[in-house]
Amino acid sequence: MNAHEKYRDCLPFYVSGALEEKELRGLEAHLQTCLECQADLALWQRTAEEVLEQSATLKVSEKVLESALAQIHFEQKQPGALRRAVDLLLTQIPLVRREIWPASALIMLIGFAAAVLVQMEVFIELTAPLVAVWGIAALYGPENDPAFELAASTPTKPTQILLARLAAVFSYNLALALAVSLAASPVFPLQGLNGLILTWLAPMAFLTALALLLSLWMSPSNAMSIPYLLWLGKLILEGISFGSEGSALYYGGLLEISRAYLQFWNNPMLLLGLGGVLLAGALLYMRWFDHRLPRLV
Amino acid sequence: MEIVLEGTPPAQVDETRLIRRIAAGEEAALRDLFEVHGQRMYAYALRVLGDPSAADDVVQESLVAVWQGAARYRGDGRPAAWLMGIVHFKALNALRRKPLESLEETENDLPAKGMLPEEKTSKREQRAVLHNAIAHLSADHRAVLELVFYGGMSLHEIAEVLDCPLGTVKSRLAYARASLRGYMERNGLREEME
Repeated sequence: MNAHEKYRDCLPFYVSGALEEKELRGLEAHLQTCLECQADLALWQRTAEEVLEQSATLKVSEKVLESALAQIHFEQKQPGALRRAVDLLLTQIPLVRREIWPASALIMLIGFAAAVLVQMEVFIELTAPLVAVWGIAALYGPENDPAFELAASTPTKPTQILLARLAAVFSYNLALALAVSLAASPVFPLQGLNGLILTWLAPMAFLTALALLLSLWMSPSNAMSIPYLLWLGKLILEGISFGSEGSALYYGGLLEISRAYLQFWNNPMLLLGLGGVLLAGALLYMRWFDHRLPRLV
Repeated sequence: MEIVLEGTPPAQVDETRLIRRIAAGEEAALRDLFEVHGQRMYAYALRVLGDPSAADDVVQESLVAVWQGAARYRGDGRPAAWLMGIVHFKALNALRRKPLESLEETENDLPAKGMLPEEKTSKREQRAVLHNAIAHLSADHRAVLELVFYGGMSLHEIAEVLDCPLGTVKSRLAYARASLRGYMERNGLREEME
């Protein structure tokens, strides 16, 4: 950059008075001889006058300050994020179908009793995910929730409502399954955390997320049927694969498919990961649905 | 030649202390800040957006942001640059929300076409042409002019406000100069400007 270009860049700041002293003298000397910079200076001076005249005559309303202060006061009165989450959870629990709570507990109790009576842990493994699927499939939507339209008209987003209910029902089912596992521990020795997760927690998470996603598109009974069939298929195949070598599964490549299917259910990380993907899918769908929802207010 | 800016913050106002008082939750300090800088904030927002109502909203959002962010002010540079940086950020957000068709329109954006040569020679008409020339600049270029001439900011301060390199500020000023000159020449005002 030569001296002329450097001084030309300084001209607006010379006009505004924001130029540093060391550049000021050099620029003034340059201006004595440079016609182009003299012309630019004239342009900037007129531009400065125009900008100043436009801006200096503007009047900002006091109402702007008062509105800002009102907004500040309003936001200060709002509870924190944790308090809002707890409040949302507490308001959603009464809106979930009431029969979910005792029915889930009863089915788990029956599973527990059956497991103890016949000395087969599989009954607990069977019931925990099924109870969870039933609870989640009946969680949300106009078919399940008479307060749906009312909830849709509130500022709370459907995704937040869905998450709050999911947290409430899933936590309840988790607590039930843990309680039953602990209660059964004198009869069936605990397999440690990994064993616990492998047997029912990971399948439960995957199946409930699947039921949740399906329940957004179809009726609760259909949304329950698909995860139920998937889970029952696993239990049946487990039984068959322990059977004789003359089993029909040895023919037509079915054995490979059934092995792959069982491996899928015995991979807790895959199940938890897929459960997370399905849950994200459900929330994304709810977000999209929220944009299409006609608002009452 | 120096132009004394009307509304320039008086030297006795300790702006850093003002920000500290806001950070301490003193509402009166926010009122003082508004008194000193409110007009400047509004003028800048209006220059970028060209819509008085949207400019009001930007000033309101900026005051709330100042209240919430005052504790994070590090004290680097002039507080005015920090403040105008917030206004600039809020104005850009508002600009993104604004419908495209109204971006460059202002109520004073009168067409220069149709003027007779003799009309153009009057001082009033010269100013009208310059007014339109400024209005025809993009929001970015108008914003730089506002910060230079009404904000009274240095090159470094403007770069801080706009969060861009010094060279970008210089190139925007060079573009604004070329654009203003071109607009005025097209409207027969070359001689009058020199």
